[in-house]
Amino acid sequence: MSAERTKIYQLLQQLDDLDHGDAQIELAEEAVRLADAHGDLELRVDARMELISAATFGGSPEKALVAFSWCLAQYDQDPELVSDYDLLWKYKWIVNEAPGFPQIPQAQLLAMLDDMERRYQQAGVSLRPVYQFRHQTARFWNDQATAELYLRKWLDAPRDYFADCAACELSSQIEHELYLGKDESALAKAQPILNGRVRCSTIPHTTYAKVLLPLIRQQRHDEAVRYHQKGYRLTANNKDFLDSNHHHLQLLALGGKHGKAVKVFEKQLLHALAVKNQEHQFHFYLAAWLLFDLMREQGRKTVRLRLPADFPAYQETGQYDVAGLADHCMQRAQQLAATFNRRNGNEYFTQLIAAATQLKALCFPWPEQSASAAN
Amino acid sequence: MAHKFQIDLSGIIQLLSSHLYSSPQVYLRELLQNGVDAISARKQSEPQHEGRIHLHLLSDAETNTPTLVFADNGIGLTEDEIHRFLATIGQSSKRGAAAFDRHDFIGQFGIGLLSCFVVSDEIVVQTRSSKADGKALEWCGRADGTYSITALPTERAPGTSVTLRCKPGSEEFFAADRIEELARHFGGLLPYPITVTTSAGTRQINEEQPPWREEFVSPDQEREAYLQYGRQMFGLEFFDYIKLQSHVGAVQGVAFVLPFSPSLAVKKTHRVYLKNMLLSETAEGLLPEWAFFVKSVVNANDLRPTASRESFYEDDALATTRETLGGCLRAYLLDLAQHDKPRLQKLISLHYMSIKALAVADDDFYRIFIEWLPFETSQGWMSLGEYLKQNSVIRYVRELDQFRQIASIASAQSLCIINGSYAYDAELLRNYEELFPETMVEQVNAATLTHSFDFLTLDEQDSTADFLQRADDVLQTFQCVADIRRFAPRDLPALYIVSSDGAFRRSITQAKEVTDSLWSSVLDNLAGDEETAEAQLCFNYNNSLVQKLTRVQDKEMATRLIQLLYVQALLFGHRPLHAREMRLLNEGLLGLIEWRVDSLDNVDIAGGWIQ
Repeated sequence: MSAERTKIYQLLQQLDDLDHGDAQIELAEEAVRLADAHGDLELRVDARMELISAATFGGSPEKALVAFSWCLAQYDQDPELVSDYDLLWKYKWIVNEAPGFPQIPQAQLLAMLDDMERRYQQAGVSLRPVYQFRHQTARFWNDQATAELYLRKWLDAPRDYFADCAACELSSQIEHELYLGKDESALAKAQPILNGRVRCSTIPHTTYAKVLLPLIRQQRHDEAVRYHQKGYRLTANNKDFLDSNHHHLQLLALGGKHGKAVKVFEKQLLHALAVKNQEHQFHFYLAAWLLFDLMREQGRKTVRLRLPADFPAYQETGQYDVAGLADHCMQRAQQLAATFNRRNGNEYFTQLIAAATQLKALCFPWPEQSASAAN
Repeated sequence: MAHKFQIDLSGIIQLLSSHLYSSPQVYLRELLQNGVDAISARKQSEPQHEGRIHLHLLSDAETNTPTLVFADNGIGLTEDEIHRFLATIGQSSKRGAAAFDRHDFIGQFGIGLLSCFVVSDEIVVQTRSSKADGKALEWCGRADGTYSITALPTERAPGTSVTLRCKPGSEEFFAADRIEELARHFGGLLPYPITVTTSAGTRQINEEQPPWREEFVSPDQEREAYLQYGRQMFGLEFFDYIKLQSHVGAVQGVAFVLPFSPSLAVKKTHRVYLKNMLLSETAEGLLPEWAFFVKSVVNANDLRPTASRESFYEDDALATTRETLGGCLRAYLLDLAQHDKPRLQKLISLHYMSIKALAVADDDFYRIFIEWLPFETSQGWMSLGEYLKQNSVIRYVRELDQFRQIASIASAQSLCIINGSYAYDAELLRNYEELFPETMVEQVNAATLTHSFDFLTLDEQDSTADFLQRADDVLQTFQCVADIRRFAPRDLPALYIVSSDGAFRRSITQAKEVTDSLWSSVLDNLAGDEETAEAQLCFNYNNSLVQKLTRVQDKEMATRLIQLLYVQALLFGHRPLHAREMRLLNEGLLGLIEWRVDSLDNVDIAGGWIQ
C-alpha cells in the first residue's frame, strides 16, 4: 500500500475520534482530497461516504449532498463500488435536509424523492422511509393534505432495517403534532423520549428543544426551564443543532433571562453564519428578533456583544443598538421567507413570521428555584 | 367470562434468551439476584438475619451430567407464592413493569428462573418459607411448560435451592472454573458470603470487599488498597484513584485514572453494580461524557435499571447522580491543582482531552486550568500559560490545512499561531476573551494574514501588470487567481490561499462531471450564480526570483515558471497534487533541464530570456 493510501486510511480512522463538528468535516474533506489525488475509485468512494456522515451530523448538509450525488453516480456506473445499503440509508439524510435549501426548486425535490423511491423499490425494501420524507417534505411547504396522506402510508408501511430508529420516527411525529398546533398530543408523544425510554444519538437532544414552546404555552414553565438546562448543554456546540438552539433562545427571551440569551445569541450567530441550511437560519433570526424586540420594548437601548466581523451588522466597537439588531434580524428572516415563498409557491413562511410575532404574549417570570435545582 | 392467553413457554424462553439477555451466562446472574432478593426480603422481618448463598456443582454419577445446586437462606416461598410466580411466567409483559420495582420479589423470582431454561431443560426448586407455618415444597418445571408441586417429606431450613441439570450444548456454563468466575463476576460485591463447592473443595468467592467499605489507618495504606483493587479489577497499573460518592442514587465507588491517553472512540467502560450485583460493564451515562480519562467501579443502591437490567434509565435521578460524580472528579482535579502540581502536570499530559472537554462546559474550572492546557502552535506544543508569556494576543486558526499553510509565514512575521483544529481547542480559545477580557483573541487564516501584506507601489504595479495578466491566464484552468504583494518570509516566492466557498464550488463541478441530469440540475441550483475562484496564488515581490520572473519576456518560459511556482506553492501548503499538477511538475522540470542544457551550448546565457 502506498504511503498516501495509508495516510488516507489513518485519516478515516481518526474521524471516529472526533465529535461531530467542523473539525471532523475538515478531516473528512482532507481524506477526500487525498483520495482524489492518489486513490482508486473505491477509496474515493469510502472517503466521501465518511464525509457524508460527518457533514450531515456536523451541520454542513450541502457538502453531504454534493458528495452523495457523486457516490450515487459512481454506483450507477458500477454497483460493486458502493454499498447499496449505505447509499439507501444515507439517501434519507439527503432528502431530509434538501428542502432547507430554497435554491432547489420544488420539482427537483420531488424528483429526488421519486428517485429515492425507485431505488428503494428496486432493492425490494419497505418504502416506509420514503413515505416518511414525502410526509416531511409536504409539511415543509404546508401541503397539509399530502402530509396527512403520507403520514398514514408511512406509519402503515412495514418496518425493516432501513426505517429510522424509533426515537427519530417519534421525533418527526412530534413535529407533525406541533405543526397541527396540537401541543398536548405532541407532549404526550414526547413523553417516552423525555423520561429516557427511547433515545438515539440525536435524541433526546433535539426533543428537549422541541417541547419548550408547547410547555410554555401550557404554563408548565418549571418543566420548560428544566429541559432547557438539560438540553442546551447537549446541542450548544454543534452547528447542526442550530435548529434546536433557536428554541432555547426563544425560551430565554420569553423568560426574561436576557443576560444569558445574548450569550446564546453570540454563540449561535457563529453557527447561523456558517450553516447553509436556510430554514435553520430563518428560525434563528426570528428567535433573535424576538429577543432583541423584547429587550427594546423593555427600554434597553444598547448592548455590548462580541460578534464576528463577517456579521453584516458588525460594529468594531462591540456596542450595538438593540432596535437596530431587532430590525436586522427581522430583515434577514423576511428575506429568507421571501426566498422560501418563491420556491414553495405560497406565503407559508410569511405566516411563520406572523406566528413568531405572537410569541411575545407568552412572556413569563423565570422560576428561580428550579434553576438552582438542576445545576 | 375472562379468558387467558395460551402461552408458548418455549417461545418465551427463546425470546428472552435471544433478546432480553445478551448472553446465556446471565442465568447465573438471575439466580444470584433471586437469592439476594430473597435474603433482603427475609431481613425486613428479621433484621439480624445473616445472609448466605451457596453454589454446589455436582456431577450425575450415571450420566456424568453436570448439575448445579444454588441455595440461599432467604425468605423462601409458600405454596401460594409458587403459584403466583408461575402466573408471572405466563404474563410475559409483566417483566417490563416489574423490573423497575424489585419489591415484587415473587414475580421477579419467576422471571429470573425463566432464564435458567436457557441452559437447563429441567428446574427443580426446593423451598421452605420462613413465615410461621412454612412447609417444605418441591416444584419441578420443564421447558415444555409442564410442572408438578409436591410436599417434601423431610424437614429443611427456610430458604430456597434451585437445581439445574445441564442441557446438552451448555456444558461450558457448568464448568467449575466458569461457575466460580461468573459468581465472582456478578456477585463479588455482595456483603455476605457466597461459597462455591466443586470437586476441588469449598471456597468463598467474595472474601475481599471493595476498598470503600474499609477503614484505613493511613493515606498510604488507603492508596495501596485502592490501586491494588484496580489492578485486580482491570489488570492495570492506574495513575491514581478518585473516590466517588453520591447521595442521590446512593452511589459509592472509585474512579481509576487511566495510565495512558485513551482513544476517544473507546469511551465509557465502567463496571457498574446495582445493589451490589453487577449490572453492566458497559453502562453509559453514570459519569459525565468528559470523564473518559477514568475507568470506574461503582455500586448504586437507588437507580432504576432498564428492562434488560444492563444499564440505567436516563431519568432525573441519573442526571443528578452524574452531576455529583462529575463533581467528585472535578474536586479531585482542583485539589491536585492546589496541592500537587507535579502530579497534575503529569495527569494533564495524559488526559488533557478530558480536561479540555470539561473546561469547555465549566467556566470556573476553565479559569483555573486553562493556563496549563497544551496547544499546538507554530512554534511547537506549549501550554496556554507559556504562550501568553510570549504573546499578548491569542491568534489561532480553525482548520488544520490553514495551520500547516500559514505556520511558517506566521513565524517569519514573528507571530505565534495556535492550531485550533483539534477537538475543543477553537472553542476554548474563543471563550478566553470572554473570561479574561483584557486579552484579545483573534481567529486568523491565510486570507486574513494577507491583509497585512504590503501593496506594491504604483510604478511596481504598472510593471508587473502584464505578468499578473499572464499568471491569471495560466492559473485559470486551476480555478485560481493571481495577486502580487510584498511579505515575509523573503525566500517564499508564492503563497497558495484556498477559499472555502471556492473549494465547495470546485466539489460541485467535480460531482457534475459524473452525475445524471436530475442531480446536475440540483447541484447547479445549489451552487447559485456567484462566481468565486477556488483559490488565490499570491506572489511575493520581496522574493528576488519573483522580481526577475515579472521581467521575463519569453511567453512560454514565463508560463512554465508560473506553473512551477504554482505547484511549489501547493506543496508548501500541503495540498495534494492531482495528476495534472504532477504532469506540470514533470514537464516543467524537464523543460528547465532542457533549457539549461541548451544554454550550455549558447554563450549568451541570460540574454535569452531574462532582460
